[in-house]
Amino acid sequence: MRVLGYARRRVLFLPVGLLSVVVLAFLLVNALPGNPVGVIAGPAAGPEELAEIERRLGLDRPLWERFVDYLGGLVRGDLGSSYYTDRPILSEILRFAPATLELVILSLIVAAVLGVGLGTLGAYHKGRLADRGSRFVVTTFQSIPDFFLALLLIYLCFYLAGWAPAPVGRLGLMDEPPPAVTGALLVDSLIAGDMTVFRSAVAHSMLPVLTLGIYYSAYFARSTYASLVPALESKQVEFARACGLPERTVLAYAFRQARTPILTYGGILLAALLGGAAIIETIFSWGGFGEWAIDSILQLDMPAVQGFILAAGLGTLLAFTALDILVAVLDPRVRYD
Amino acid sequence: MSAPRQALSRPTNTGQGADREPRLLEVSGLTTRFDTPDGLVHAVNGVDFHVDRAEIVGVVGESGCGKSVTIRSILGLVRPPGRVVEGTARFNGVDLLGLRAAELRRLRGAEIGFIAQNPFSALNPVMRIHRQFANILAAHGIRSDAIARDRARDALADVGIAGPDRVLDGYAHQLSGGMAQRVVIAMAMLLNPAFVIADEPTTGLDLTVQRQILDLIRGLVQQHGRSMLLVTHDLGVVAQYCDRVVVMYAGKVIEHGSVRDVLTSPQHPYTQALVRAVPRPGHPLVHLTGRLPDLVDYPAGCPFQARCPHAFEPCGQVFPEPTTSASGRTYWCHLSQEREAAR
Repeated sequence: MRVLGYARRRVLFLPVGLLSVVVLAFLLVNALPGNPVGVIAGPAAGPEELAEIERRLGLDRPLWERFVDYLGGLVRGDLGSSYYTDRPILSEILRFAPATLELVILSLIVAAVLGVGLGTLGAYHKGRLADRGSRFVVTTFQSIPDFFLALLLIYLCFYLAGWAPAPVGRLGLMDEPPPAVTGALLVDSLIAGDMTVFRSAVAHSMLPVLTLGIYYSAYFARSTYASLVPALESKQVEFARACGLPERTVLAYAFRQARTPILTYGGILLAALLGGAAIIETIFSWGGFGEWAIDSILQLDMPAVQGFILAAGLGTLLAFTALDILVAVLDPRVRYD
Repeated sequence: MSAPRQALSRPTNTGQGADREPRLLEVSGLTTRFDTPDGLVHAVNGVDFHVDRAEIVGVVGESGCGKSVTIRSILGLVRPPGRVVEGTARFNGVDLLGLRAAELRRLRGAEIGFIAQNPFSALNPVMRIHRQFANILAAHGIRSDAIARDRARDALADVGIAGPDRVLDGYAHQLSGGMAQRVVIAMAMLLNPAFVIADEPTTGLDLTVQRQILDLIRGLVQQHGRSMLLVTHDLGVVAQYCDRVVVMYAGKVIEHGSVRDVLTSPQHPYTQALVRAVPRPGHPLVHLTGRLPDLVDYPAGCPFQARCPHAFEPCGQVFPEPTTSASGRTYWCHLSQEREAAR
């Protein structure tokens, strides 16, 4: 009951949050320096040509009028069209976002398993050899920039060892993509029952997932360590030991105390990676959301940038709301009145 | 201060009987150090004491005197950087400090109950109470949830909790301080241990509740013929609830004996200062000045010398030999030799 009421209030707040994202997306993009008209027309265009393009894109109208138009479109599910390809932004988002979601979720799973494991190892053996070993590994993971790690893995696993396929995207050049249902290749190929494509998709996601997983495992390891060490030194854990509980249960008790900060960190990383994996996506020609956003920004494709901010904002809002509700479910002491 | 409690009328297990039946707990030479960045902390330095069957022994001393570390050393709860470097703690003849971790774990909870200081930091805040009871039982081989629930219900009834099911289905933060401490006591007594260690069980509770809790603990200990080590810094509690008392200072035992002997005629200057610091009508309140010695740079000789009004030449050199009276009270002070000589 306590959690249901809280969840309802959090979900009711979503439209308010979303509206502020819409306003910000619109105003910020319009405040960007640079004129898309000039970019589209090219350096040789004359003033009439420029005015013509400006009229076609509707950029000659006042800001508030364009905003009302944009809002009206949003209500009808129309996010505008790209200045360049003329494709509707919504279908672009639906095309690019699943690829990124697939990559980010798999990477976060790898990062969480690896990081929580390393952090736990260090925290449980604090001050001993295992702690120093874990800290060395974590520091190494964290100090290698992710793009460099990606190139290193490509060099080692593809170029030298040949374990991984070439970084040419989500599938090999000869693979026939399965019919799009969810947009996530791993899921779609399973739905289509095409195991050859599934295996190829797994092989192609190995290196980018490993890159992001290793890089972000350091953050999981640090937050696990930071919250597990005090939990293991707490009176609660001591009392559990004094009652004769085995170490496995004692560690589980400590984890129950420590899990909220770790989960929070995971939620923040998920939100950040929705747009923040762009460099890795570019390196692996992933055709993802972040890559699309960067291209759009460089081309001053304003409807696309607005659509990206809107979708990333919505993803972040949903992730944080789900996280808050999860924390409330897990901790009976959380009260919001 | 109320009169010391009469010792129970039963044959006391003194040194002679030791080879027939081992004492319940016999600690000797217990030494625990902490290797901190500031240096080696001499927390417990060769502590000797014992607990007999059906006896309540108080451990007193100011904060930082090594009371807590002593009981944690016995239970195997000292964590790195702390380490028990020397000594034995024989429980029914078995040296707890020589046991493997898994063996000692099985004794904790089953044969030695532990009552923690603050129930709200001891109980798991995000786990229902009945699950915590069930985990303790499961750790000692009782895995049926139905049996666990019955046992938990009985244990809660024993500590005077009327609606046990409501408590069992709830969380610790929904309880009052007294109720939560009763739950902790029920957990300590759940597997019917012969020996209970209580670590300042009433600190943090209301004054009115403190008495109830202590009465409850004493009742549960005496009814079942258990023994208890009661750690406290309150001499009033010692006088009222204990048979014998161990006085600790800077990680050493400096006096022990029956509560009557130690509290009515304390022999060690530190015990004398502790007794004088208890407010009593008609007596001036004497405050002990100074601080505990540095436990890293541990002083040679008697650790109390810096604060002792009677300190003289040998105090700075060697730790005194024990003096034992006919009634079994023992204290460690160089003044005893002076007194012998004066006689």
